[in-house]
Amino acid sequence: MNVQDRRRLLGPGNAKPIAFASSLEPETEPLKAEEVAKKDGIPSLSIKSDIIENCNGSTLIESDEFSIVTSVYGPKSIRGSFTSQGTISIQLKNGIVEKYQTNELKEVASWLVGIFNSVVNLEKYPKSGIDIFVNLVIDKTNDISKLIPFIVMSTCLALVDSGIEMIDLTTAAEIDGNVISFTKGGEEIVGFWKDNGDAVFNDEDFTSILGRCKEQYINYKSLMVNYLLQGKKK
Amino acid sequence: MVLSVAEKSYLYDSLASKPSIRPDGRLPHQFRPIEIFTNFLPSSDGSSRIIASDGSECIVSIKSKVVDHSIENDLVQVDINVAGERDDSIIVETLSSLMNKVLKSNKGIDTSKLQLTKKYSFKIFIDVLIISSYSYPASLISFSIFSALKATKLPKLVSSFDDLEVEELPMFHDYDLVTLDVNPPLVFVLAIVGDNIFIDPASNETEVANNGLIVTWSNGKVISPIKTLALNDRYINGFNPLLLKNGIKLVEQYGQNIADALENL
Amino acid sequence: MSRLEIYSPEGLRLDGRRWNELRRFESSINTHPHASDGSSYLEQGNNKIITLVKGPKEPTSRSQVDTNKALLRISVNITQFSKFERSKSSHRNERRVLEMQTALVRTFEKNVMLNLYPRTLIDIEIHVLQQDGGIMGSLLNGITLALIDAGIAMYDYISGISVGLYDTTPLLDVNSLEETAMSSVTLGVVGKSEKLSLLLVEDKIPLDRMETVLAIGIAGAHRIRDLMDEELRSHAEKRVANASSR
Repeated sequence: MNVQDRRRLLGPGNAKPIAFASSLEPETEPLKAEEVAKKDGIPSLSIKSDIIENCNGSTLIESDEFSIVTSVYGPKSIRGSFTSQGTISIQLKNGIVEKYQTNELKEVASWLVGIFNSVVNLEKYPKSGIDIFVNLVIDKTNDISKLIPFIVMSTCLALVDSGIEMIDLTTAAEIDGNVISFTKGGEEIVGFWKDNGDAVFNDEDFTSILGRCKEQYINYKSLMVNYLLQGKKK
Repeated sequence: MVLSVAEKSYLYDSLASKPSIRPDGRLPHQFRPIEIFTNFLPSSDGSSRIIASDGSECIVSIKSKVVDHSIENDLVQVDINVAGERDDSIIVETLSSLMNKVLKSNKGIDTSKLQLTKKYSFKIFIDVLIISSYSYPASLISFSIFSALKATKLPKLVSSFDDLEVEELPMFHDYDLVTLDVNPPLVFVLAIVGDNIFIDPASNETEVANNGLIVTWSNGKVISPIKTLALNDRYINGFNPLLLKNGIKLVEQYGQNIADALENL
Repeated sequence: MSRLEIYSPEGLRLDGRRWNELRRFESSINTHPHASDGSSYLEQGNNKIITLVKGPKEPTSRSQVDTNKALLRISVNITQFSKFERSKSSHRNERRVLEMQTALVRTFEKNVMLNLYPRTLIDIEIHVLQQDGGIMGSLLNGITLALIDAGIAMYDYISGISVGLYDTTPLLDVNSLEETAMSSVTLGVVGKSEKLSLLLVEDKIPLDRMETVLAIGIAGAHRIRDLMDEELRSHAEKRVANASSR
């Protein structure tokens, strides 16, 4: 059996793991939910990490509009020939209401893989695979573009929770259907997504959209950083 | 194509240098030569076969059917088949999601052109078969859909347009055909290497690209969907936001030339 | 029974052929030199078929390795737009298509010298762009041409043809209208011999008529073999001329 496959439920409920004499490190307390006040058009978010036990990292992000659960499994060994760096796979799942078509979800998922390929330090994980599952449990937005920033955010936090090495925290911002995912404090783009509307890319509009997105990104990022630091203190 | 580490590094440096040098000597906005054949399938209303210079090949067939548009509101259907890939593989699903968005958005195919009478419309089925492809085939598919739709001829209506009062099915002329007058958008794939951006990356260029862009163009304007595209998983990295604007400008500048070339077959 | 007059008293068929005439047969090889090791494009009447041979190559998985001979794999892709009416479902895993594939593999396993290529995979991909009856015969011809283009050793040509039986008259090389109106058989003939490597009978045929049906079928298959041979030789001549002029 593959011991590293933690998606399986292990043994009966009363089974106990073998305890060795050596002292285990004190378990870190699960991170508590944090409410963030509504400011600058950011919906009030509730973030909770480490919510699923048998995966390496997980995050739940909720607001009035949506609820997204992300779980990260890995790095775990992959079968087949040698690969010099890790491989990320992402799967998006509809909630109870089948809102999005599977091919659209797969398109978003492969777009997300592009983003996380550029921010996760994959060279550290040769011969291994990182599987990420994003579950859109509740969604009242009806527009995947509005949801993508939070999918990116929850995936990023779940990766942090799993302890996988990352080059930078990334998250995305959405203004008028333009979704931009930044890194390096807004200096660089790792992902861009636009599904509807014309591209108004004369110099002025472009700078203004970019500026507003960057601002939103910085807000989201500071939110993530605050949350992570708070969890650390406890 | 499998390149060695040294080859890749050489290729990357030459592409990222200023001015950039592409391995086949093309300019940043230049396409590789393509060959297009149209209307070679007599049982379809329109068809095209496009062959890129690297041997990538795509075949498109357009078929039509008369439907009651009050019941059937989906008048365009795109199906994509890639040889050797399952129907639920990632490449097939993402390409069909992309092409559906491109053709079915309000800037895509003008469905009012498909209307026959007050009650009936043509529904068109666009079947795409990719026989082989060496770089991301979105551009190739959209070019061949464009030329297939431009070559599509549908039967000519001879019964009256207003059929709400009278119960009659549309009647068609025995042999006269009308050219379908639609302007489908074109999709461009761009590769970003360092601070340079290139249209129509070849397979060796995609292997060292830091990122990729999909840009849609219609009637002189860049429209959605626009998105980044991971062309490989080794060199992928963030890029300067200005490159996004440069890429869109590049497409805006040269899109019309491509459309003209495709139209004047 | 069909309203159409399948075979007129004057001895003419729907498309103007006589009982023993073939449809237009046009073929070319090496049509996809980048995508495959051997390829052919075949038009037999309104059938249009692309055949790609990839291999002999390293098998994709270890389970496909045979230490004694090559593994032959044939996949037939009948496109949704191939018929006049577009089919709603893809024919990918239809039983009829799977049966065609096994019949083709069995036919060519006996004719290709697989023992010369141990531990390899020969992958044949067929795309049917348009079909108009007698598709199985056209598939055989397409594969034969593509295998020859790939330079894979074979004992002889396999030429395929379908023959219908209209009352007592056998009709050579049936099209789709004729195919739906009467029973027909498909045969694969080895070279110029009278050996059959495939005989496909899916309808009722009176046993006492079988002999005449097979006789005209074999004659038609020999004609197809000659047409393929002609094309191959003229293609080879062109290539030799190109090579020597350089």
